[in-house]
Amino acid sequence: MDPYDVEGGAINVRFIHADSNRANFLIQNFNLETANSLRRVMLAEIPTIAIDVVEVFDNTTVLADEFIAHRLGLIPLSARGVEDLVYARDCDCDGYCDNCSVILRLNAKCTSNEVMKVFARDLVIESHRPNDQVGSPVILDPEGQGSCIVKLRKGQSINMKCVAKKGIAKEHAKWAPTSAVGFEYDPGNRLRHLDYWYEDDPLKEW
Amino acid sequence: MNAPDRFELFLLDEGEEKLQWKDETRVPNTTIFTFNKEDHTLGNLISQRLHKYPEILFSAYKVPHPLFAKFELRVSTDGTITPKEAVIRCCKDVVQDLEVLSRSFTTEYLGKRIVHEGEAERQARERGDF
Repeated sequence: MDPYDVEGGAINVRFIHADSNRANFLIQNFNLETANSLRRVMLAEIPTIAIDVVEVFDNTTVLADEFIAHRLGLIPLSARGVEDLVYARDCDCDGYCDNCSVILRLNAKCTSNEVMKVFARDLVIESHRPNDQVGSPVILDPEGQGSCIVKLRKGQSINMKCVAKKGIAKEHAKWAPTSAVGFEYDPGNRLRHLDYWYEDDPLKEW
Repeated sequence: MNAPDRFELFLLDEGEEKLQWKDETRVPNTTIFTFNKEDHTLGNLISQRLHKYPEILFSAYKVPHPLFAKFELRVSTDGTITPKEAVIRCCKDVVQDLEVLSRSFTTEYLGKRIVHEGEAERQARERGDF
């Protein structure tokens, strides 16, 4: 596969690796500035969904309300089909509704003598959502539990209603869809861009 | 305490327009565009893209202050087209490039996924777990 096989000057994408959470690809005949803007948009301006407002009904854990609310905001939620959700500020409802948010419930009480861990899998979707995948907590670990939110001792309990809304990473990093975007111009340095260009004859330039 | 809301980085204020422009009087065929609630993502893209056109004599952008989300784009042409037309044409070209990229990316990604699934199936068959 000759990298200089430019195929008539058309924009061309070749994948080196692609799976459900990582992709490595090569774009040919493309501009550097458009690729950079694409990278910036991928980091900051792709809409996703994350918990934004938390109503606390009961919290007798060792962590403070706002501490747990911060942790809940950072839990990754599936954003497949988030286009069906409306931004909460654009919605005509008062506060939140089924069109602009997904309601999740966290309800746990420890009754055993051991420490009970509350995982992301324990978040239960309560509202009627536009499609059946948006807003589900992302569980990728082998035990199928997701991230640990809080640990409870005997007698401690937690009861919170979380409102997840659509947003972009420019507003808060919890809405960031990508963890890392790497970008290299001309890998292999075939264009031999070794030094910065400098002006040697002003009359020629101007 | 004095921090502005983060959504002010991308949401327009009351009565604010996305784009404003002023013709520069000291140099012919020059306009300075002010894009509100935008940052380097768009500024670098348009100003560098304009360099590709032969009619453009000067194209540059600056973010006047990092705390305010706006940038100024200064464009000078040689007279054959107005700076406004140049910017419009540039934006259309960018959108077209991105559409071609989107199509190419989608077809390649789906193809790669099919290959990947085929490989996984083949490996499962070879290992013998039907």
